[in-house]
Amino acid sequence: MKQPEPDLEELFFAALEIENPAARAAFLQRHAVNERAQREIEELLALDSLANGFLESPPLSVPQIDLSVDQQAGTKIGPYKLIEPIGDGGMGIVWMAEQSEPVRRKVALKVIKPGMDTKQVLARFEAERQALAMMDHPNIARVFDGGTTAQGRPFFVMELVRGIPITDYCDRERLVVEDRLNLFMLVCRAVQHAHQKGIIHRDLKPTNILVTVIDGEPVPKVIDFGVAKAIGDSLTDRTLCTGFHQFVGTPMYMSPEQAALSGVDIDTRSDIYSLGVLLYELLTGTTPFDSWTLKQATFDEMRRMIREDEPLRPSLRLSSLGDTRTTVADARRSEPRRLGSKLKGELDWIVMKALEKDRKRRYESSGDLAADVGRYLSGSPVAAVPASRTYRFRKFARRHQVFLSTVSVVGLTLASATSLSTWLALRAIRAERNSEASRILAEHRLQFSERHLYASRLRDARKAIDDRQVELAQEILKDASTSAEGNDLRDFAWHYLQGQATRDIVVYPDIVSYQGHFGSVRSPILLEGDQRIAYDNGAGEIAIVDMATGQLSDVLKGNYRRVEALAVSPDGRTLVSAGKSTESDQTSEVLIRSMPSGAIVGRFDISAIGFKRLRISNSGRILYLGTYTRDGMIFDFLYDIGSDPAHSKLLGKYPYGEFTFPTGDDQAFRHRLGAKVEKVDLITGKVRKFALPRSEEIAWCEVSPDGAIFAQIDGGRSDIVLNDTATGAEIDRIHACEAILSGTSFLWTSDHAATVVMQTASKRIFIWDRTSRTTAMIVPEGTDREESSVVCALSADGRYLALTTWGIPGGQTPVRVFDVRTGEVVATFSGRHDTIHEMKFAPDGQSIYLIGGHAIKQWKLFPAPSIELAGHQDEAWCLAFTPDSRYLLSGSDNSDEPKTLKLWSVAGGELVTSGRPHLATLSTMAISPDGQRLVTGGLIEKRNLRLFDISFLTDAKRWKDGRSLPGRSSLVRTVAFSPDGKTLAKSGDDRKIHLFDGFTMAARAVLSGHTDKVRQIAFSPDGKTLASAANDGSVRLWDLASRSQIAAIEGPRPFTTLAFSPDGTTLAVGDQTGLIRFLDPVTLSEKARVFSEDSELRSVAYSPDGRILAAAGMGKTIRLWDTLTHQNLLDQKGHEAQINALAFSPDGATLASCDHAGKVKLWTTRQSHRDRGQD
Amino acid sequence: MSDVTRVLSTIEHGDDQAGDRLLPLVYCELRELARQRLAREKPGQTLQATALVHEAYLRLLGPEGQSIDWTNRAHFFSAAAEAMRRILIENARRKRADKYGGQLQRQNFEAFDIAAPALSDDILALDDALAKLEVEDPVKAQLVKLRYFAGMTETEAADILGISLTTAQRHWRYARVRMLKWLKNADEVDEIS
Repeated sequence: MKQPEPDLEELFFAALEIENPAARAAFLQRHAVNERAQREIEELLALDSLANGFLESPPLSVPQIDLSVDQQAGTKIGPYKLIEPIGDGGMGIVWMAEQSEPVRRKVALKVIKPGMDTKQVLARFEAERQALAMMDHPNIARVFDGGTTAQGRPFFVMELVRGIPITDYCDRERLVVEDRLNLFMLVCRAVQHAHQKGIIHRDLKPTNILVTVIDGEPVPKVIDFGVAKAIGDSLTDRTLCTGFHQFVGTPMYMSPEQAALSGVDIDTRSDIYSLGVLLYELLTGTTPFDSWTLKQATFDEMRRMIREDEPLRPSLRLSSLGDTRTTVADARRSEPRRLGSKLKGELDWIVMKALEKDRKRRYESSGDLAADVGRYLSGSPVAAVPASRTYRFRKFARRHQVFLSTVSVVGLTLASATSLSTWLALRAIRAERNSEASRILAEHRLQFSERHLYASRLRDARKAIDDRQVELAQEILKDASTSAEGNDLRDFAWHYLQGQATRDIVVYPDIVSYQGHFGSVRSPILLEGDQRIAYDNGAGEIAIVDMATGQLSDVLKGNYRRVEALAVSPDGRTLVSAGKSTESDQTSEVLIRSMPSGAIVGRFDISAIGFKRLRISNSGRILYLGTYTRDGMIFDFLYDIGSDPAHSKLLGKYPYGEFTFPTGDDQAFRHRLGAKVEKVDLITGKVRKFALPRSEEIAWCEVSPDGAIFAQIDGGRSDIVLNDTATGAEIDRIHACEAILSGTSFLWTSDHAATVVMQTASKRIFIWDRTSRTTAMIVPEGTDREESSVVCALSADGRYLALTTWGIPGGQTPVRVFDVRTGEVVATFSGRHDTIHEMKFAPDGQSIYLIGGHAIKQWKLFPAPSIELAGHQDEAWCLAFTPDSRYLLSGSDNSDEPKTLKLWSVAGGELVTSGRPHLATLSTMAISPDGQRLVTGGLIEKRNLRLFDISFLTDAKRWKDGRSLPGRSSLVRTVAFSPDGKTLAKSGDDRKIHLFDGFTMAARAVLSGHTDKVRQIAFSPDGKTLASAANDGSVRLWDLASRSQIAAIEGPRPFTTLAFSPDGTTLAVGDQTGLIRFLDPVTLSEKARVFSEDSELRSVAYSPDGRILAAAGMGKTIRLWDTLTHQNLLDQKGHEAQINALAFSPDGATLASCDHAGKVKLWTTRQSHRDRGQD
Repeated sequence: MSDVTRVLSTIEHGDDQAGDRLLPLVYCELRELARQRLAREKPGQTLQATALVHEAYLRLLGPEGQSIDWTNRAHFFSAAAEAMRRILIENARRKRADKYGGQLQRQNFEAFDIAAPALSDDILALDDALAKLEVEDPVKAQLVKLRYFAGMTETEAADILGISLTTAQRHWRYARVRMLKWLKNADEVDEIS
């Protein structure tokens, strides 16, 4: 037994007498035996001022609620005679009672359960009585009276409502969604009435909203108005703490501000939240946080969930319900899919607006909520949407589909597309003859409005990306990806934006499903060397998400009721889980799996009901389990699971402690609070003392991976001490200036340099670097709040530290990543997110997994800019992709650099080879559809057209093999291959279009007519016609069979560029004024036009799927146009000089652009390896 | 003569083992008493440890209780304090086990429900600290038990321990800071695990 330390005690009391701090310190310095004693006394002195009240009041015991009923039928309470109990609400038992005077009537009488201060309840009731009396609404049950029973319990007398809870009623009657909404609106209006009288319900839930059928019509009645208020306040603090059952109001329906227990701060908007929950339940059959989930949670977790966790949108929630989905849909006379798509969109928005955590963002009144539901029912745009024209348009279009003529639909939305609408109408009129007019028209309208919405959604997404609201952008894109009819709308612009939106953060699909309750992400562990995360999904299963694909790659089922703990061996090959088995309460089952297959290779039972810690030794042989037993004891077990997994062997059972494994597999360290560190022989399970020189109690310890160094936080908690594990000698000491809360991360290198991240009691983070012997301190934001909590993670190379603080107003601080060496913030993620409870760096340190609540997100720290190729030194003029989309060719001027032709790898962006086809500017080129031949044109009079065999693309010598046109001709400005590759066309300064054999370059024909330089030619996709644009201001269409001009148009300014749509239905031409005309490919009549910019267009290009036309020129911005609605989808800036050419890769994944400064850029939807960062 | 009086008198007569027999008696009585009281009492009332212990005293010692001398009173109250401590700790352990073991079976617990959920952990930590104090300074630990678990006043506790009021006050002050220090550290340990 240690002797008491009289000197300490004496000094303590002596020092207490000295008030002056300096004098006190001096006194202690003089008298304390050593520094440690001095520190200790100082600590005690500091604590003394805190000790006031400590241990003063004996531990109180609050008894369980007495559920006994002390009223019986026949009992008289005042003028009321109890007839029979009709319900047992949370707060009390409801009786049907008979009132004898002044009127004879049946009433409902609610006797409040014991547990509250009757006087206060009644005082509050009296205070509200007048207001309650003023309430007169057919959907509100009147409150008549209140008083005290002979036993001293408060009671309330209310209008007797013979009904059933609204949710039960709706399900029983299998009401469709619309009927449910109508009922719900009545409830909202009733609540609104009460709110107008200044009465807040505070406990709205289905059991307080009863439906009776009067004359065949369901009439909802809200009961208990004013009752919760009267009872409420007296309960908040005290009773709330006694457990789940005595919560004021059911937690499922409780607003975040009610859950905050701030008490005073409840207003009408809390009721709106509860109405939102009710609506949620009416629609999906479940509450946003279901009772199962809330019951699983501890009291504080539950409150936190209500305050912080974003519930799933109703439509998503529905799809998460699994098998229950069918039942839910059936009760609404629907099928899961149909119901889901009905909820998706407006109803989701309405519900989510009512459920906003921030009540300022909820509906302002329940009248507003009712009105919005009403708007939904009438097909008007609902208010619950952040002002978005697109959405309003969709509603508008849908509503007027039948009534409006096409012209007016289009006219209202897009002035520049009037001609298209005429065209549509014409088509429709033509179609009328075969009686399909209306169908076609309707289809077009629908498609049209869909595309409008889509275009607008893309603009929203773009804006969100620009605002760094990438998660919002991902959500918008997800929403925009399919039409209401289920058509896939995604095109290049979508994929491009998706790439941008997921460039820095990838949101893995909400972790949902499983028997109708939320999935969750608990005890996540990173499976090493494998970009996968395993976690307990809250449903007795281990889910594994593949971080590369974002997909749930595996769900390992065991016969667990609940997974309690997970551990993976350092080599990632063994995954051990422990959890309560479905069979017994008393024991838990431990499953050993071989990874990555997940096959169970061993199992054993252990008589534990909970787990403190699972850990597998480095070799994977030893499993350490810290367990709780039924009687509250804590035992540590060591098992040999590696030698023969099928028959795990118990090595030893130890009282409470903690094991640390060095690399070697023959021993472990064990430390216990207040005891010396021990070594455990892992062969025999025997324990020996491991005597460290400073062997006072230690708070935490860890062994370096090679087992050479033992690190501990000493009992004084201000130092981290490193000891040699062999000799026990102290080899280093880190002093943290303040009490260390935990050694958050300890990172060792092979030469035992270490980076240590420590979190101190004041929530500061110290980063100590053993090599440089420097200590950096970071004070995380938001830690001035006592309830805040800091989450941090250190990258595997020790270079980056990620920090975030949660438990603050607003939820959480932005996640910041610091460079440990410089202390600089290198990245900040401030997007919207749920509370992040855990962060893990991906193995490569380039991204962080943010884990919390119901989702895992991957945040890419160093997103790459768009791919910019090395480019040319001179003006780049032309581009061509190989048919396999693997290579891009670009051509340029030759003033500063003789190699005018460059071949780039699309995937890597690197230069593969370069060449010099002409002794002049390479102005144009084309690759044959078979990918075998390349034709180039130069701004020179000799050898200005060359044909190359490019079947061996990467062989630079081949460039010389070009077959060249003999003789002299004028400068070549444009070339093209016919779709079958058999014909080659060129034109330019000579104003004539020459046709050659595509293989031999034998001349075939000359098309004459243009009166100035020809800028561009293009074959129609069917190969029958050829279009040309020239400086003479005309676009001409040539029939190739007859070799004659069949149509022509002239513009006020020269046309500069043209392209056929891949389906051949449209010829798009751009001119010097920035106007794009969409022409009929036969008559050249104009179908639509858009002003792309106010300067000259140089290039237009259709995406291979024909949905997008890209246009660019002197304006330096690439604009993407929707080819159906002619809406602007996307503007892409990035070039600093005029853009000379655009080209889509044939696979549609990449758009290439080149400019006057020689820059060549790839706008890709693909994630290339270059995206992985700059390191 | 009640069982307890008998045991007390054997202690008085030098039977050291008798102390061990006292505790279970007091413990059972207290437990039963608490259960009954809680079942009968208007819920919402908090149960005062002091009241319980005194009631147990009256019931266990009967009329003889009036005339019992202070040594025996000290024995009794020490035993009662220890019994109360055990009851509360047991309860806290169970709650804690329950917390970790999942499943909402809390409502099945017979009598006690500690006021705040956090307290079950606190009380265990407190008990750990108390155990340390007991090693370091048994008298101070005993003082804490009497005051905290049995709800004795300073004077009563000083009386039972046979020390002066001033000493009791001094002990009390020092014991509290010692325990606070351990508690503070214990909290931090929890953070680590």
